[in-house]
Amino acid sequence: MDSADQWIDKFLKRVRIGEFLKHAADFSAVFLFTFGTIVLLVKLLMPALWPHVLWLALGALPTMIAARWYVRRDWCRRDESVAMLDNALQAGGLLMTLHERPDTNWKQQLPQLELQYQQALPKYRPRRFASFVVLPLIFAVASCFVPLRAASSASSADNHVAHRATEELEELLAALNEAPVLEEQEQEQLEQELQRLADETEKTPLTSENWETLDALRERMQIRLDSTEMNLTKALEAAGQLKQSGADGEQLTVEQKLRLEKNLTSALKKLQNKGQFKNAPAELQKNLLELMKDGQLQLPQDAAQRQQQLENLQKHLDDELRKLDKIREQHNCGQCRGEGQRDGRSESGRNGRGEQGQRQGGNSSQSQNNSRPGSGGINRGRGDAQMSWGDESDEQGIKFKERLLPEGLQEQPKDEVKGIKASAPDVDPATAATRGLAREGGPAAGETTTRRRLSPKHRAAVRKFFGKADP
Amino acid sequence: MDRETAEVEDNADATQQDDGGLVAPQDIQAAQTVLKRLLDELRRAILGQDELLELVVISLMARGHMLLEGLPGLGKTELIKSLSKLLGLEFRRLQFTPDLLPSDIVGSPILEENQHGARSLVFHKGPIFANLVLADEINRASPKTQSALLEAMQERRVTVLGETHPLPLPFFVLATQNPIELEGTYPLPEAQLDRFTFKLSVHNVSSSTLQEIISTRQHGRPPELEPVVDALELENLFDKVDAIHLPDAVSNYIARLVTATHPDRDDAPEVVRKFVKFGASPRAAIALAGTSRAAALLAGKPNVGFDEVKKVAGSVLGHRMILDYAARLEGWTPQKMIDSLLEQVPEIGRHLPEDLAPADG
Repeated sequence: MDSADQWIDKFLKRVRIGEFLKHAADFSAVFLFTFGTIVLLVKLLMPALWPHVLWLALGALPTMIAARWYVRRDWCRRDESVAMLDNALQAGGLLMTLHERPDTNWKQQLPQLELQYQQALPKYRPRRFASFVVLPLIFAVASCFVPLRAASSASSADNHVAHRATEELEELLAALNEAPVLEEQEQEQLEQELQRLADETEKTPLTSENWETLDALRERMQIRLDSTEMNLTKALEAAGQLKQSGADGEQLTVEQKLRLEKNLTSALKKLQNKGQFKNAPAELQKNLLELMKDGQLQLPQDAAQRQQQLENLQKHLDDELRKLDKIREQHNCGQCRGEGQRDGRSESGRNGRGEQGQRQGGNSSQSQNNSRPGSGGINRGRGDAQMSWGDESDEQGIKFKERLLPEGLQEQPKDEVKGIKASAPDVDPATAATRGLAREGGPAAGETTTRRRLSPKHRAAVRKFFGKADP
Repeated sequence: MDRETAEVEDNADATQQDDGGLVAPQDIQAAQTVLKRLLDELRRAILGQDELLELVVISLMARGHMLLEGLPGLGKTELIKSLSKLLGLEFRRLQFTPDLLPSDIVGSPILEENQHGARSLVFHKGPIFANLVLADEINRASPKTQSALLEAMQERRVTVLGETHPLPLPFFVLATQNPIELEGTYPLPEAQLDRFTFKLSVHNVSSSTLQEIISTRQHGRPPELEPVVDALELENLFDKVDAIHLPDAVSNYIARLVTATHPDRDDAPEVVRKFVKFGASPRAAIALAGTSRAAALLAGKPNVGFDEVKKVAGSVLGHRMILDYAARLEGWTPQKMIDSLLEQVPEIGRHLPEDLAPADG
């Protein structure tokens, strides 16, 4: 092989490498994009497969082999490279001619300097390769650094939430039963419903109906808790006033005394029906039986003995109230309402107990509000939590079949006594106005807005907004 | 006959020597010398038309016919007459007129009586039976008469009354035509044009050349010329031309160039598809290869290069491409179209990959 042939081979090699780079860039770009996309999909949809996906990187080798196979199909031929080298050398076709018809006489006419051949060789400038590969490479590498998505599905999350909510309710039920707050029949009923709910949410995703059931059960327990607490408070207040009247020598009228005894009797009856005195000391139970003879309260005639019994009763009721407060605090029952009740109770004249209850209520409310958003009584979890839909109805609406809803509950109004006055009750005009406006929220016809009567306060706000001194 | 000419003859058998079959360098040099001498003599007769004279010699070496187009008085006829003198070949001049008949060109059978009294039709050869035929103002004859040249130019023979008569070799038709006097003329049909290897435009000369002409040529008389090449030498030169090697890459370039003139081809350039009505024929490719070989010999090369193809492409392809009216409105001429083609069709079919930078310089 003479010098010219060697340079022809070098030229041919460079051209072929250049052609390979061209196709390798195309193939690599496709491979890297595919690899990145697969990695991304696996990380987002099938995180468990993530470590195995990296084996796909070995696909770069067959990709390069495929690129080489592809480029070989239209590989630069030697005669073509001779023509290109001839052109670069400006040999006027002599190199091509001698390549096809070797001739010793004319070979001497070829350029003899190595430098000429060296300068005729093309230089590597893989700019196209880089421009094709850089972006896909960045994409592929970046996709490897995308964090793995948490390996949990929506249904399992829903089931977990349902399980947790059911457990909380079961704990609350157990606590109420221990208090005791519930009657035996109602307790069994609640247990059955909770068990049914747990069975339903064990395998199927949590639906809105399950949530409704959960809320209804929770509200039902809270109402029982509130009712019991109200009876305890009522009894405690009546006992306290009876005791205080005896201690201070304050003479109550007959009507007042009868009313207090009646209140105490009814409250104690209700508590007794729920088994509230099961945990009381035996002496207190015996005293209560004596007191409640014939369904009426019969306090001892002896002042000291009466004071002693009332004090024991008051102490027991206070302990029970503490227990209920503890239950409420532990199970987060009725945040606002519980707080309000405790505030109201503190104002009712319980000695030393009001401030403590208020402090406890304030602390518990604050700690609860720090951990959970919203301050409403019944909530459905965090306000920023992802909403779960699923099982949407189709166009015909056949999804909504008739179904028996859980038993309806009516909230019992608070029949508590705020105070007793001889004069007519005071009416707060502001409160009355708000109620009046709220009643206006019914169906509206045209021009309702313009015809609506504005309250003076509203007019002032409008005037202030538009900055007019006079209407 | 001088020494160089003798060398050409002596080495006639040695042209296909050596291992590769290329013409020996000394043979190329000898042939080039003869051609240069012919060219020099032509330059002495026709002043200021060097490029045209080179193309005329190239066409002659390619054994091609030639059509000279130019305004009156530019020396077209004088060029051909000078060429005939320098070649030492049999020369005839045909002045084409509207009433010229084919038999006036090719000859006709005439009833003759021999010495025994027997009568027979004897073919009387026309003026076309010559080595060098000047068809002056060829577009003034009717198409019927022009067509009389078709067989002669392609087959180098004429057929009269079913009898074929070969023409003397070498045989060249050198025609002239005036592009401005269109009244009473018959434009050459495409089939006739296609048979001319070259169509050369004779342009006006510069003022310095004009000054030289009026200073040296009294009454326009050309200088006395002596033959520099005879028929045998011409044959040897033709052999040399045939021995010039045409590399595959160059033949590929010629093929791609001719193919690119066809507007119906997908790889044709945009201007061709837009303005060309009909492209060049395979005969054009053959003519391009032949004239490129002659150009290479004139350049003293044993092979054809891309430069030789580019040099003759305009004269070979220009009259074979039929432009449409839109091209005329846009100012496109055949020569401009060829120049555009030469720019757009790459010499080598394969491009250098984009990841490689071309060589320095």
